[in-house]
Amino acid sequence: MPADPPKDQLEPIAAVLAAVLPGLGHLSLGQPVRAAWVFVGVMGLFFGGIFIGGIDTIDRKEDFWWFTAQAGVGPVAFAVDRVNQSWVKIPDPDAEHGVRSPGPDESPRARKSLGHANEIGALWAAIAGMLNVICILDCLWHTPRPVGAGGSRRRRADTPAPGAQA
Amino acid sequence: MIPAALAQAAAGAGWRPFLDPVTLPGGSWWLTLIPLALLISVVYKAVRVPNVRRLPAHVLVMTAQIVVAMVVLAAGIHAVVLWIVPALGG
Repeated sequence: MPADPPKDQLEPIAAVLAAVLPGLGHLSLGQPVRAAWVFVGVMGLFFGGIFIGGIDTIDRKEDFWWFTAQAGVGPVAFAVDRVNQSWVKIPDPDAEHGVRSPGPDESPRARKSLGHANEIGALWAAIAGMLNVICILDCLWHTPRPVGAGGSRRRRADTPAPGAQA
Repeated sequence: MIPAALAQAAAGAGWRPFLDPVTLPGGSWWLTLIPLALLISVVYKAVRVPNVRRLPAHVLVMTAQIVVAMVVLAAGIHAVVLWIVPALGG
């Protein structure tokens, strides 16, 4: 008689950990290899976007809707935005929020990101956030995977331990 | 092409990684599609494949699929805009 397929398990703690840092949720589920790939992929996209477009691509106030997607990366996105708002931007009483991104030659700290570089950088970081949301959902509704396939080292509740009497 | 542009920007304008935007030479920005497709494939396949030992092969296949699909899409739009619409008198 064929074995039943593994059933999804609700793992809220793993989902919270995945939201804190990409890959941490899968690590808590006993999947270190999968966690490493998630971390490399999400962080590669997020910091790759900042590399292309500069720190100005992460801007909660001036690019709110982009940031809505970028926030899926977790506290890292909010920390980068905080650095941008408090350290890079320059005061401007005429600006909506009292500060704005510096134009060329206006600030020694960073230059405003414009054109393709800004669009591509913001897109990379936004995709990183949306993909991490998929990873969070994968942790929340977790399907146990076989040990030895890079899968979960957690034993399913309905699976007898190795060597256990039937 | 892109590494040369990065070197030029770093030398000429005091470019600082992660603070200033990269100066992408005209017509080459689309090359960022390749690492973008690669990293998207890494994350997507990391949560999809049952056996992570086969992940690199899955990632390479998906990356190629994305890049080829985008090239075909671009060629199709190119044909519509430059050939089909003018042929219809647009």
